[in-house]
Amino acid sequence: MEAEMQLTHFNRILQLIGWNRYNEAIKEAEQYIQAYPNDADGFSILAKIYSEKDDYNKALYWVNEAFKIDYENYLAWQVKINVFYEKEEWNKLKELLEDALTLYSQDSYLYFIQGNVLIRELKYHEAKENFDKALELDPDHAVYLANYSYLLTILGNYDESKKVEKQALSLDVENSIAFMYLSWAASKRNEYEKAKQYLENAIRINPDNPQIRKEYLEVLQKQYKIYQIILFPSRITNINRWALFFIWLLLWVLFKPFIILFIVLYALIHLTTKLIVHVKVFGWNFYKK
Amino acid sequence: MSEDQDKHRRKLKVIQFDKNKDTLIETVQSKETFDDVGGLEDIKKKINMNFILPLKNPDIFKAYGKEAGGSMLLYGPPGCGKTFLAKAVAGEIDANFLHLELQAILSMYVGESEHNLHDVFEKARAEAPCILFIDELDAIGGSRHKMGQHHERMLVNQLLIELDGLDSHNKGVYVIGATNTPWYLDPAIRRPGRFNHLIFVPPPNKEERKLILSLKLQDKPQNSLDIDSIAKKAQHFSGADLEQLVNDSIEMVLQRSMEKGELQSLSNDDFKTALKYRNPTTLEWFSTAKNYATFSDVNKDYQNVLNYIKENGIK
Repeated sequence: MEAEMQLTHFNRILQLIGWNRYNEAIKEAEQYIQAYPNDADGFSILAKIYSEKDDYNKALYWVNEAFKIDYENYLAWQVKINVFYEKEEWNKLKELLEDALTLYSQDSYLYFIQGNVLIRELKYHEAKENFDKALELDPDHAVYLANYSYLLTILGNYDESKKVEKQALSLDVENSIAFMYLSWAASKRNEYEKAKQYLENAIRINPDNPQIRKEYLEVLQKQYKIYQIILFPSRITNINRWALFFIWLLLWVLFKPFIILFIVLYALIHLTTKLIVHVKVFGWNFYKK
Repeated sequence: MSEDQDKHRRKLKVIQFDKNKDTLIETVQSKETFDDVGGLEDIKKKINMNFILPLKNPDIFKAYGKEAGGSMLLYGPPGCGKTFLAKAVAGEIDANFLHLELQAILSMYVGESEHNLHDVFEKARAEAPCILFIDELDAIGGSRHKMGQHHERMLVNQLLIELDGLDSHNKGVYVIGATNTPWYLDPAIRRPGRFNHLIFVPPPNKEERKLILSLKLQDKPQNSLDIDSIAKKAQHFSGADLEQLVNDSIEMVLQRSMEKGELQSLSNDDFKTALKYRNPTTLEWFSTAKNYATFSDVNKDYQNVLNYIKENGIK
């Protein structure tokens, strides 16, 4: 009976989180901790709520409280990793992932996050290994698949990327994050129309996500042919950074006036297309956020 | 005794969920009518036209092919008087008031399955004429697509069935829903015959803020307060925000009184300090609403929110 009541109480918290009612969820979680002070899950769920509210300091505080009771509390680990990912503290995150993987070597989420960190470090092949592992453990995860499709385009494997794209869409067509990754992939394959459609879906599902909004406005900008033309240098991604630098230096020495003209043109076209998109979406309102 | 006074003297039967007793309990409260609602004239007019007058004069409206009753949905930022408005509608049409809140809805989802939405509607039917006020409607009628779990979809479907029964055996039951997040609602809920009147309840304007402030400050010791200027500075504040503001100021004056050992009165400076530390909670709502209205509003349901944002210079 007691166990059943405890489960009911915990489910109430989960339900409130599911409804994005974080303030009510916090109250419910605090009551849960009062009733069951020896259950680490109470502390880690409170940490999770604060991390959903982007209040990372409080999230970390409650993670540590959870660890005092149970160092192997999975939810607490997940929240902690998530917080450092959002805070973009990559070195700390890498250490954490290493520790977490010794505890949970069969957890797909950890490999997925590790894969993402490696993409940031441009270590694409190592990233792929991690994605392969994550998908081996959890083959039907739309977000993993969508992100994997993006990674495959970076690696130049367009056919496989499209196959994975289809697979992701067959699993979930209501996930804004999955659509965002698929849009990145399409954009990288120069399929701007598709990229736009995917972001349109993403923004309809979740217009409150600032990253999706920003990328949607960018993809609208890329619809203009003239902007696409001027963007061509950015498509050359497979060249080493230093090589790229020397190419620019060489061009500078050889065609100085043309390079200046190009940069001026780029700036001009970038700003005009940005303005057109803004007016199209928001009208002539220019409030600063 | 005049008819007006008599109307105010009578009481309203209010039925609410009690979390501790885990059941619906009945209380009797003094009745509120539209006269008690400070401001919101446009909204009152709209509710009158769409909701109350058809009930009072069914024949006239029938001549034009308009049916009485139905249900309406109030939405807007939190703390702007949606619940109070619903209660006033009950007062206006002399109906009982069944208040279904988040805690009751939560208990329908989790564990205590004996609380059924059907029972709540049955209770409302038994108490007819009755306003069934579903607060936080998004919790019950959230988008069926976004709800992963089977039992959540069941409750949305149950709600649709109960609402569709409105014509036949729901005689005398009027459903008013309220939500801060209308964009989470299942589109099926807004189809004609269900919640077809969508009414936006905005934060109080300056005159309304003045009215609310003077009501809250009644009988409190004060020293030539410039309510006009306070109301002006408290732009975009919700009713609940204004209450907080008054509470903050009172706390300050209490502290001063304790220190000096004699009763001090509320001054403009108290409000000036309190205003520094309080920001309107409605702005967060508007920024979310703006995103939904700009990017996600296929049916143009929230165009009036965008207009409101523009007219009031909300950034």
